[in-house]
Amino acid sequence: MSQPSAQVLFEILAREHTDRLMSYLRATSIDASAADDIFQETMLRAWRRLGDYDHQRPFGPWLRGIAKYVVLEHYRARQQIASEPLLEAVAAQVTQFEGPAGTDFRERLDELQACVDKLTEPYATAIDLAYRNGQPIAQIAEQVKENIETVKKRMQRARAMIAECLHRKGLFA
Amino acid sequence: MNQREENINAGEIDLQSHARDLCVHALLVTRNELPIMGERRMQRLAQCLHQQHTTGFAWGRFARTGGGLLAVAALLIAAFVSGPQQVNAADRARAIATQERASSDRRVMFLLTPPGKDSDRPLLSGTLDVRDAKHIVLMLRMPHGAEEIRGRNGDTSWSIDPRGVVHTEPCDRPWPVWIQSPRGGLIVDMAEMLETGLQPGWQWSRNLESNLDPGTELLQATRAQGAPVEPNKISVMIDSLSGKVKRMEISWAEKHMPIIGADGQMRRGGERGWREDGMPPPRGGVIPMGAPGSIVIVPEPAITFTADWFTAEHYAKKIIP
Repeated sequence: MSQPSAQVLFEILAREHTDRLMSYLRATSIDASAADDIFQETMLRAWRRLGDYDHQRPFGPWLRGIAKYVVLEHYRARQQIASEPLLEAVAAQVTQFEGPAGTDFRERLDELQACVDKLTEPYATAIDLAYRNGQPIAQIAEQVKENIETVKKRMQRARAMIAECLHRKGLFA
Repeated sequence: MNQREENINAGEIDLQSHARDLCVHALLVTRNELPIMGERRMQRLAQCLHQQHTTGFAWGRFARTGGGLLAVAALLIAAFVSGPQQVNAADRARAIATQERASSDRRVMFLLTPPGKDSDRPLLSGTLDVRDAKHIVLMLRMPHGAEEIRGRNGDTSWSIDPRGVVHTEPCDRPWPVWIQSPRGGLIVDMAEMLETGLQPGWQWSRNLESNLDPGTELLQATRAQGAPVEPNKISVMIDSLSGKVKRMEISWAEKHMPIIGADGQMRRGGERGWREDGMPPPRGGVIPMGAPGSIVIVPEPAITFTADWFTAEHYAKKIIP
């Protein structure tokens, strides 16, 4: 077999773990474009260090271990301070959410959607406009005729309700 | 509890709730991201990997669990215990097929390369979950993000199309030629394909050359003649120590590949072939039925499926809200 096949194989693994890794990176408070750059850098480092990976262990946490250092470097380069305990707490939540080996991450995301569907008004609309329509908070505030701070608090409350729902399903710590 | 402990606990609770909030936000963004964004991300990664194609990288080390000692041990075993003079390649393939067949629940990931020599073509990926010949689930992801799932649970065959509609299928519904092996099993089931290669007409060879990773051996089977839509080459990378398959690549002869032109017209081969750009045909279902360029198969770590894993309901409830 030729060497390019190794790249192809790695791409399979990368595809399987894209959503998990991007979820972790987005949760580390990085803006969207930086998250994409860090995703690329993490995957390239994983590719170079694949020989160190223990096949008997799950791939996701190993990948997030690499990602954590790339995130820390990202903050350091911008002279910002990253909270390592927070990064650890985020990683632990993502690990719990992704479940044991063999679990379909999309299935887990569908469980998340089921929690979203249980939201009542005005939380459901806030989440819908922000995440499904991708509208900025200022625009949502204008649309629902509330001030920005109220919308922010509403969304935070909605996320807390979703987190509680996921906790009850055993998907969140 | 003293004041300091209370403060620490309060801080931990605050940290945890902050982490939960960030995670829910992140997961909502991921859940609502358009598939095309993920595809662009993967294309960018593929380009980066291609540009800096690492010389000396050894995929085979991927499956190595120990350090140098294990690698050396594997190399010694490969060189002195099971060298090419002592073990016939076909016998080796037969032993590995038996070992693969003996395992119960197993999952492989596979990546399908459409026919043609253009390396920029989109790739189709998927997974195959197998318990036995009558308990199978195939999940195929197209480059544009659509998914099709086909499965068999005992005597019931089913499929779920990209719209999430469940169909009951006749058990004799044909699979694409890159799924159904010439023996009637599934090509992406490694045991099946090894046994296919043990049929008359195939020639096995064994490679323990130094350009392979320590503890790795390569078995290859080729055949000069065969049915037009059947594969003509099987390459199996094996861990010499455990005898487990690390990866398998199955290839089809270029001249036999059916192609559908950009105009939707078939150039060669049977119905529902591949379009020249590697995307599915404009009509007649999502899964291309014709012969691809190759399939690369990688086994996943040990897994145990739940009782309902092979039922359509298990997947339908995920797809249909």
